[in-house]
Amino acid sequence: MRAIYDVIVENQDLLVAGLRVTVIMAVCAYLLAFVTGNLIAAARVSPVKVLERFAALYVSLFRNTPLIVLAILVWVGGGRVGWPFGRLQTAIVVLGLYTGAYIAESLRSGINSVPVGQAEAARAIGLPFLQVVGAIVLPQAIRTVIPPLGNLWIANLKNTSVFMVIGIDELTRSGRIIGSALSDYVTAFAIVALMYLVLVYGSAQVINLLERRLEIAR
Amino acid sequence: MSSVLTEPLGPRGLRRVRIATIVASLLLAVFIGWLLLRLLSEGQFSSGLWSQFWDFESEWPQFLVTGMWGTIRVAVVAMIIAATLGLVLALGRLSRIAPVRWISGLIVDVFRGPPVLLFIFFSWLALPQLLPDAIGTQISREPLYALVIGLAAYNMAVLAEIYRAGILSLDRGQGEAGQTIGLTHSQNMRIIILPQALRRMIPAIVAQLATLTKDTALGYIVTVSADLMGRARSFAQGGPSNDLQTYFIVGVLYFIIVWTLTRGARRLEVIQRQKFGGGAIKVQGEADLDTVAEDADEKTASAKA
Repeated sequence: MRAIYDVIVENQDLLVAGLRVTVIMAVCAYLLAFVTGNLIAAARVSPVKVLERFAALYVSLFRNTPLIVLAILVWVGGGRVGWPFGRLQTAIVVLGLYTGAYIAESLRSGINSVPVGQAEAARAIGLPFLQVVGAIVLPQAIRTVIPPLGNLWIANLKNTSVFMVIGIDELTRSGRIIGSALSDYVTAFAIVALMYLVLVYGSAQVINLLERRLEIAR
Repeated sequence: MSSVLTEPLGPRGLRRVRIATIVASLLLAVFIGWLLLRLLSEGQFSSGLWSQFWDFESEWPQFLVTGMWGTIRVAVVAMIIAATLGLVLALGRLSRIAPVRWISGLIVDVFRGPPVLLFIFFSWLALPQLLPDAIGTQISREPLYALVIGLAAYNMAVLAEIYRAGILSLDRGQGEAGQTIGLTHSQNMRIIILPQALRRMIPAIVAQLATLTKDTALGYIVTVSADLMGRARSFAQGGPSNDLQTYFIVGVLYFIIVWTLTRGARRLEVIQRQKFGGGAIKVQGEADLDTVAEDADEKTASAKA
């Protein structure tokens, strides 16, 4: 086993490239997931039955199917139906839709955690629907939802590794390439694991800070 | 139907809902119709591509059945290993000896951080370099072992957190009562705390089993051949090019297994709540797990204060 420091210095280009792809993928996918999650959650709590059923089906489909199967299906099947995106975009879309299903569930339980009386009181003093939602329900719902959303960001970050299956050069794959070049997988994967740990626990710190900032005394 | 967002609708609201229903149905129908048409025009529905799956004379259905059995076996074995090691780690984290607590905590945090796939890779490529040759070649020749080891390594840390949350969710009076009647720490754990805590954890453990089963599909990347994904790969490579159909069927099979487990977990949770009133700790996925872990941390902190 060679000194870890030397290996890092020698392979810094590959490591940084992998890290870049992982972070870009995670950030874009999470933004997409946030939009998707909001739309699906809105459909899930709407009084329109068709939308509600569709949203429930969507969530159930994406939560109960392995991400890797979804990635392969879209990548292979997409090629057949004129899917316009390249590898990285495909990965971002699939991961975004997948994480979106989880975000939708978190948002829904967040909205449902607001006591009904709050909305009833708002309606009783004559606020229109948009104000009931925007001024009363959402500000309370968002605070309960921040911890799960933060944790979903971390899960989303870790799930980027799956997309090496459709040929994305992300961090885990960098580790594999370095390992095979050195014929020392132990060191290579240890370095990559360390980088993931920094990303994950770094994010956790930021999330905690955010949580404390937005906390309200209940 | 009165929820946070809507109250019983009047005539105008009902009319709006009706219009929205029609518009939404149309949009959905157009989208699904477009997708089906595209696939149809590419000839993806031609019976030749699908018939093998229903033709029980051919080897395909048998292949899928053995693949499904392989997937279930991997999941169960990995789960048993992870559950055992996880319990040891959880007890270690709650131990009265400080170094044991620190080391268990460190192991849990390190193994819970990186993605599962990294552990599977590590077991497949790095472990053979660490272990003596006799075991090492076994693993590199049969990636199934690597898959089981990788899944077990990651999930033991996850389960350790679930156990810890379950144990800390018990009322402190339970443990104190045990001490009062003169039980030792280990007797107290075995007789009073663990039986109650384990019961509360069952739904969360089943939910974790569902996640683990989903993750077994990652064996595809390390060329496992005995599970559903492995079978699917050998279909897709040989025979006519019906890879899309194969992965679709495989996806459906995974969905059935995982959906059953998630449903079961939710059912168990409801039963628990009815029988014992509250109690069950909620873990439906990664996100909930972290929340549970943080709650446990807070409880430990407040118990010390």
